[in-house]
Amino acid sequence: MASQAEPLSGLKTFQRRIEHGDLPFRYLTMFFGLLVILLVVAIGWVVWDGSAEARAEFGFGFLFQEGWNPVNNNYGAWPAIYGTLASSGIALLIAGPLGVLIGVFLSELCPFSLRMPLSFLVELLAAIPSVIYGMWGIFVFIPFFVKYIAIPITDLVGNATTFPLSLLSAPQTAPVTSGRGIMIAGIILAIMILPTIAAISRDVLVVVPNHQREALLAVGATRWEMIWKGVISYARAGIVGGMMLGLGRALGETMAALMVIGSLKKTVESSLFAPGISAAALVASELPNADSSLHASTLILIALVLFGITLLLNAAARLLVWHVSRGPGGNVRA
Amino acid sequence: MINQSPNYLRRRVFDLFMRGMTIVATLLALVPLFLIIGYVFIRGGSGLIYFPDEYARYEIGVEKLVTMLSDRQDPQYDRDLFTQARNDQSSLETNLSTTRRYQERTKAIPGELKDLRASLNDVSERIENRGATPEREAEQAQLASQIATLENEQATIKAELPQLASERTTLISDIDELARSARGVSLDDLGSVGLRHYFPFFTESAKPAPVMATSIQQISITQVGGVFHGIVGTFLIVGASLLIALPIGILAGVFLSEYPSTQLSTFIRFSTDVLSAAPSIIVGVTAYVLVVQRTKEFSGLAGSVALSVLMVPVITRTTEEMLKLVPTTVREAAFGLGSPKWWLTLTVVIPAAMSGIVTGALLAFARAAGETAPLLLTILGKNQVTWNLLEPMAALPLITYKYTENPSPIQNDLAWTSALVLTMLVLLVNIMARWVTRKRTR
Amino acid sequence: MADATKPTPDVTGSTGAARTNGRGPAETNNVTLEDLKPYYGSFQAVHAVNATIEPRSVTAMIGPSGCGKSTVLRCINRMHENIPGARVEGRVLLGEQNVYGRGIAPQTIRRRIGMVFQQPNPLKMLSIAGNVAVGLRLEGHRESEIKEKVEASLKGAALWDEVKDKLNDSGMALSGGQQQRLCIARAIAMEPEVLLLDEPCSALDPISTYKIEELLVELKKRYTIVIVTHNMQQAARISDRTMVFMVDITDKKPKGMLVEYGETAQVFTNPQDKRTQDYISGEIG
Repeated sequence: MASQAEPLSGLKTFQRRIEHGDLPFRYLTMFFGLLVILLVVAIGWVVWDGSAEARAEFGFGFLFQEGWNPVNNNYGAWPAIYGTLASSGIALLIAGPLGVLIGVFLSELCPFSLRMPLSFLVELLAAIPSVIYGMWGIFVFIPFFVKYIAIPITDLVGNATTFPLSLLSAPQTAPVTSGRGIMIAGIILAIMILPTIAAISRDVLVVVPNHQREALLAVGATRWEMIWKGVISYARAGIVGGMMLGLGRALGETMAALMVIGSLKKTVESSLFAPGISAAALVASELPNADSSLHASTLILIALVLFGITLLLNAAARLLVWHVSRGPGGNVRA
Repeated sequence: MINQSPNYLRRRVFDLFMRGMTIVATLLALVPLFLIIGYVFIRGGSGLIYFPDEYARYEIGVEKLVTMLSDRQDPQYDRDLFTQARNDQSSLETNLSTTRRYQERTKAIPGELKDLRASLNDVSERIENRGATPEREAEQAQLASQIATLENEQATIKAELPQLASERTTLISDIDELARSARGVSLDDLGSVGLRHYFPFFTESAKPAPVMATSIQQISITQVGGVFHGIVGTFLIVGASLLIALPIGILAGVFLSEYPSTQLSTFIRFSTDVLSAAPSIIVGVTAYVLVVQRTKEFSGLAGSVALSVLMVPVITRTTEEMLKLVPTTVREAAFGLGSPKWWLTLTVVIPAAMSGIVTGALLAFARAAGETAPLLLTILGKNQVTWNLLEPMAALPLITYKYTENPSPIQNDLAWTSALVLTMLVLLVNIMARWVTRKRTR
Repeated sequence: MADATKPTPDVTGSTGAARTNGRGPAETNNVTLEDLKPYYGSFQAVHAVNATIEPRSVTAMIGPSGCGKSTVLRCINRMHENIPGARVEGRVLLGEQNVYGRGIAPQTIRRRIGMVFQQPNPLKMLSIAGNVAVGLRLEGHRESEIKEKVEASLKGAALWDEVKDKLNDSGMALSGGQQQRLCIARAIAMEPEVLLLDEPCSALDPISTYKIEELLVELKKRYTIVIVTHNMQQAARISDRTMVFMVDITDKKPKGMLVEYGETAQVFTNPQDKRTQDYISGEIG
């Protein structure tokens, strides 16, 4: 087009862009971009504003109090916070190392022809809805767990009260045979976040440049020494990031926890085999039929705390994963 | 022989040990994951291929008739007709359960008789060969009496089956007549409508569970229904949320990739990160407060709003990445023709990245279809099929959850089957997404 | 194969401690390639190679790209088999011992035949000293011994003066040429018999290249050096003997082949093979 070659004054450019519809289109896309920001603002505003009543009533001190009785307006969030942290902690303890080992297997040890299909399979597993993990936990895993793990361990430990052992003691509020509890929730969450951690570990291990592996092999390192000193050590920030993303998923997980954690909202039991409650499960089970506005507001406050924790964790994790994967060929979900 | 380096053996053994551990740990860790899939497929699948027996359609028909006649709001409501239908139903059910029991016995008795006769022969032979002892004679007598009882039973059943059959024929024609006279439909029409007879699971919605039912034998599949309402609900809700999320996600993605990076775009990217990191329950809480509390009603729409918030970051990020992969040469070639940028974007750049965007939409669909927690707070659940997004609705994950928590075993079976449908849906959509991108990269 | 009858030298830690001053192994062996055929899957990448590499000299491998010179080099210390699907037929003899012999672990071989790669590859997570010491640490040497060897190797690689004040800094902070010399130091810290270099200067500027060439001339007094280079002048400058590889395009899939092997002076001034002549005069390649 001839006009394109002509030098244009600022005003003329502006006119042309209006005529061509460029500027309106830009503003249209910008509007939808702003809408994305608005969504975040809306979520933040809802949980902040919705929890105002509870914050005015209790302050943040109630996070560390026990007790839950909506009828008397007596609330304490500590059982929910403890249940969330403990079950996610167990999940991370189990799934973290295992997930990294799966990542190592997929990126280093697996026969070459199996790498792509197996990796794809692991990614598919990460997509399975959490309600199905919870369901499997209830019907299949709990009976097995009670019979072969919970009963033998609690029998062995008995009613120990000293700290590390008391975690494995016989629960007081519900029989161990009920199966539901923080421990089982942790295990189900571990199974659930395992594919996530494995897939991310594999992704950060695969992008470790080959010359790092060769450097170690050339000085006579064995295969495992190469993996440990060359590959895992190179990608450790990314691996930690992957674990933190997994932890974030476990913290925010509602259904699997709701289905298997039991429902002990009033107190915290020292035993991990005892029922408990997680923050997300508490909100999901009580908010739709909250008794009073204070009850609803308290639940939203718990949601606010959960939101804050997961955001911080994810920010840290993304920073770490991004830090490793920005190298050449960095191609990492995040 | 080449000399080995120091600690050679220790290092070799440690190497083998750790590699072995990695493989073992991987296999061990993958086992529960595959067990889950396996369980869902086997238990869910067994629910799907359950065929009701030859009489089931009478049960379905009479059940429907009773339901029809029990509606007190109906101007045609007649208490006597209803009572009559109820009585006919219970007689039919007694008749059918007796018939089924007899049929099972008819199949089982010949085998039992054969076994008993064999042991009787055995005992008689021993008496002949080694002489009679009191124990042997007692055994012989006992076996003989058992055989007699069984033969008796066989005879009774043989005699009673035709009686039951004729009784049933009468009952069925009675019910048929009742149905024709009261509502103008035949029992056959009520009982079987094409495939619905065989796959109640996909075509029927839930029925209230019998309160006292504790074992599978006490209730039949006809009393449970299917998850048709859940399938409809899931597709409606997720479809609606896709309608909301696609324009936002795609246009925001266009803004991020097609216009120069500014502080605003950094902020938008940050926001998508926050959205994808937010636990789904938080999004559910937001939709609950903003939609459910405002409209004072649980609705499918509230669920769609929540799910669309979960979809937006997935679609935005994939769109942005896919648009950035479109080569500059394509843009320059089109720009050289003098077309305006928006036209170029809509007609050249977006079509070039289409398969990538479709992948993003599919992944978002799969993620949203499996979400349960936000639905718990927004759509509440319903036992009937509804096409109205402004009402409470059912959805597959919610049904899976509710039937899992239900003590009735047959409803638990239904939960497995709906879990199977859900898993298949999510996996297929994921595989489809992968397939679409694979085609593109070739 | 002059020293074929001599006992294999001992390079284990017990006597290795006595040789921490960087003199290198007391005796060195020929490296003999016998019918060496590298494969990628079912595809034979290079025609069978037969050659004897003499100890304490620099042998250069030159040829156009795709002629398989790097592949052959990587076969010598069994790095080739790390590529999925890659395998080797034929034998590589270090002295009398077949590198591909039964029961020989590749790490044993790689420990005795060190390697420096095209791209400088210091380990990102280790310091300069840690990089040099990594192989020794894996073998569990004493720390005092490691410290001595690190110093000796860095001196041997002509890097000591430049890094002695920042031994604990990251190896990635060095310049490209320094990184490559660090990799040479890492290789000679293991006191190998043979040092393989795979285009060590291709990523470097002329000054760094010059330094490394100087270093190699120094190192050949103690080590058997095999260097792959695409730079004919470099081969002419530093090598004693030269292998010329060419691409054989008579097959459907082009294969590499060894066309000439001899004294460098003879190869460059009086090549026996027509293809070598064309290559050296710049007509092909």
